[in-house]
Amino acid sequence: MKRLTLMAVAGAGLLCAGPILASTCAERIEEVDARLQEAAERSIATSTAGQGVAAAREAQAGELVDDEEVAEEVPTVPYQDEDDEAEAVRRAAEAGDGGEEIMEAFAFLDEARVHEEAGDDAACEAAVAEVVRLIENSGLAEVDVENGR
Amino acid sequence: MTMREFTLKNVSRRAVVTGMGTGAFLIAVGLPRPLRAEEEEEPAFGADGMPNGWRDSPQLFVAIDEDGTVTVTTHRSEMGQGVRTSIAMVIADELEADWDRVRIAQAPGDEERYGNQDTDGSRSLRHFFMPMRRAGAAARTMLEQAAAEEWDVAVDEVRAQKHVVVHEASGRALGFGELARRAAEREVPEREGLRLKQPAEFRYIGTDTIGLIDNRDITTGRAIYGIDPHFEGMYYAVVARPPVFGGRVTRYDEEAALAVLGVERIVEIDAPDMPTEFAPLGGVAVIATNTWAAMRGREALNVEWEDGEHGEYDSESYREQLQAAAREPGEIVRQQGDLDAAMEGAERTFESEYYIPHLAHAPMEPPAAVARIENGRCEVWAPSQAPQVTRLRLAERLGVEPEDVTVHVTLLGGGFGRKSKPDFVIEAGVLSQAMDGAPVKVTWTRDDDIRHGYYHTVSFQRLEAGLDASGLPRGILHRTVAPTIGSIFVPDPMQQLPFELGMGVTNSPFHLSAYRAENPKAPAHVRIGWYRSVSNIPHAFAIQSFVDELAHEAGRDPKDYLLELIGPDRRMNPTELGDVWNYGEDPERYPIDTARLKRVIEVAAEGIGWGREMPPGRGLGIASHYSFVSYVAVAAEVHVDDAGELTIPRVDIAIDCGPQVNPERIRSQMEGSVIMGVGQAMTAQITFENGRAIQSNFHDYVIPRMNTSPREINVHLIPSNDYDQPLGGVGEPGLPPVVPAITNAIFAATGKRIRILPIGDQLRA
Repeated sequence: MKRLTLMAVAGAGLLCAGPILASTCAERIEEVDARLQEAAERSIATSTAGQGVAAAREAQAGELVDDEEVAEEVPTVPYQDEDDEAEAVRRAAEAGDGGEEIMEAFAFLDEARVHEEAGDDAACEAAVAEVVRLIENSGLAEVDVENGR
Repeated sequence: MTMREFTLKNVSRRAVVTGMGTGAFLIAVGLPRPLRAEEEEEPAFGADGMPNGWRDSPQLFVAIDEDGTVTVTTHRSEMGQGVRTSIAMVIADELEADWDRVRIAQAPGDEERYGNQDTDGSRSLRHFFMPMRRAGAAARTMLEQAAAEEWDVAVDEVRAQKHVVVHEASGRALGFGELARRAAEREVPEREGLRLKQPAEFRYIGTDTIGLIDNRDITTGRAIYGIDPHFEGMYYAVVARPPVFGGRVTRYDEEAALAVLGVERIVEIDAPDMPTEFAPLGGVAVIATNTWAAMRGREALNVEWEDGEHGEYDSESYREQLQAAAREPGEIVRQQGDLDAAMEGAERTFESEYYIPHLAHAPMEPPAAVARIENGRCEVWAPSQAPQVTRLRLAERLGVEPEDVTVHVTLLGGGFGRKSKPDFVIEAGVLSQAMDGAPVKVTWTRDDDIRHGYYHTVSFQRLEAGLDASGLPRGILHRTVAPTIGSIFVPDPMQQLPFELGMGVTNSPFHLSAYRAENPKAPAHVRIGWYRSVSNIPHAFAIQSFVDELAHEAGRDPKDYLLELIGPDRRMNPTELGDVWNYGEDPERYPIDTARLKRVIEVAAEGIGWGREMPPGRGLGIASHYSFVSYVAVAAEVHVDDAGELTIPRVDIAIDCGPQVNPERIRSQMEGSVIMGVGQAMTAQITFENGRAIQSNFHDYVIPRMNTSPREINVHLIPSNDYDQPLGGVGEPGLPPVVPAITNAIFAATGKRIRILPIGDQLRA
């Protein structure tokens, strides 16, 4: 599945930034968790309650490469004005491929919790960094690289 | 025109174009205020988030005739769920209209005007209860203002009461019809200042006093379904479609078809590009002066096909493929706690696998549509769940502007999601265009419908549990494998979408220390469509069967075990579980409430007499499921005789859907869910060989009949009179727990565990 390539570059920077952080991994988990909840809510909002629209948007969002290619890459699903729907698909793509990356981020966050409880700080940090990267990819939450959140 | 022509009460003709009979007034003039939620930075949930949002202007939904007749326009599609009645009840109640003087008009597809019209997702009342209340209240306010002006009194001295406005101090009263003209000249009041009724004042909402508004027409044959519109000079068409998804025509005998008396023309319909979305499947259409001739002409075509890439699709081998995928790790889509450690530390492990086949929607009315084109404008009459989608895609296919396409929505003889896809309507438009705009009716036979559907996904589910000494799970692994609905929208997606996983996988509310869900890959070989309850069907079957299996393994009562697994009362934000869909609703307004889930389980269990002594061959089963932001539990009693014959003496189903608008319809939906679920449990499946659907009609795609239906269905509605609380869905949430309740009961009765659907002959072995 294609990804938002520009976002991935930003995520790589975060991975590098992770180890310099001063806060404990437990603190970082809490910080990231709040942002992940927000990202999840935005993902819900970009999908919609209708099954047809949800299926179309989520599927198309996962195919999207970047903003400019919305109309050309993916045939717009005819649920509304073409421009509006293209914008909706773009938003869904920013919502972590229609939510797919947010689901992954939740999974990594729980992995981080497991490592934190086991006292494995390095593994915890790595998992948190992956969560941050996925949130950043989603384009839904501002992540402060300096502070790791 | 024949007598039946334009008996459709379609607002585009009656209200706007020709008026609603003599002296009818839209309650106000001018364009409706833009009522859609602002283009916001904040997330938009529910109706706010749907394409074209919602409207609540009385200008759109209420018209009052000078004789007092109130015409309510409904923009949602009626497919037996009673939405035309329920929407009208809401408006009429706030309007203070006399129900006996309320009529219904059906809106054409025009979302710019009416707001979102996709009738899917169990959300017509959930999304439009408040907008319709406001529409009714605004109209009532305008009538009251008109009366106050007439009497030169303060508006707060007058009050609408059952179709009249009264001024109690003077004893004066004016009927709605008398006030209609003056009211129509008033400005629509701001929604913020509207006085909505208190629940204690409701006449119709929440009561059982209103029957289906279409009942008389349905039972006397006057109701107009997709197949009913008739026009002078109309042609009739059937289409020979490729037997394999993605197949193409290679040759056919046009002369032989044209030789059939009544056949007028043969038209080839282009095979669609992939992904097909809602495009017709292509093939060869036979257009005739009557349907029978068209069908005979189709037989004479002797079409030869090139099957394409799905010509080897075989359900048996595909099941093995899904099973193999389910036995390997897949993409992790939900994780909590350390499952590996939980499994390693378990006293023992338990695993089970479940298979759910493709299903066909099989509405009693197969798809049908009529189209005609005059002066560059296309009109269609169709049983559509998605008239706006139909309009836009039809315009695109015909090369006209959407404004030049009118979609008249007929009644639907069942829908279940099939009629959200407008391929059959586009066929009618294409064929009318081929006939220079003459009206053409496309008829799908039952066989056409069963063999060329948008099928419910086929699915394999594997669950593993690490159990502690008491038999409770320390952790659960759930792998769900199924081709995705996304495959009709994008090329070759291999994994289920978040919204599909949000139907019971990423939001299951069990109280577990460790849980992991994985989503291995599965390609699609047919058109996968949304079908009533969608992915909740396989997920609920697998999860609720597995819990029952664990209970029996532990020697525990299944109901008590289920309740214990749900755990303590708590309200969870679904995002905390990892759900990124939540049926499109605000997760703070719609948390998952385990107390509500447990309550429906207790109510269903109490209803069926859970724990009573059962004679040999009889058993009780229970299952629950949260879906469409409602809570449902089903308790079933089954009897399996010595020959393996299954009967279902009784089913109790309990639903908590929040505040109830039309309890009679909720009961009806629950009863329908039970009946449909019985079919899924016992007989329903679509299988493929060489890419071709094996089943073709009700002789081999068997749906419940009188002899297999439960003898008794008891519906328990959890009361809620707090209309400030959000409404839940009703049309779909009843279905998912039905099948596992039945199969769990079968285990209780026989010790035979059903893991592959349908049951078929499994009990006879």
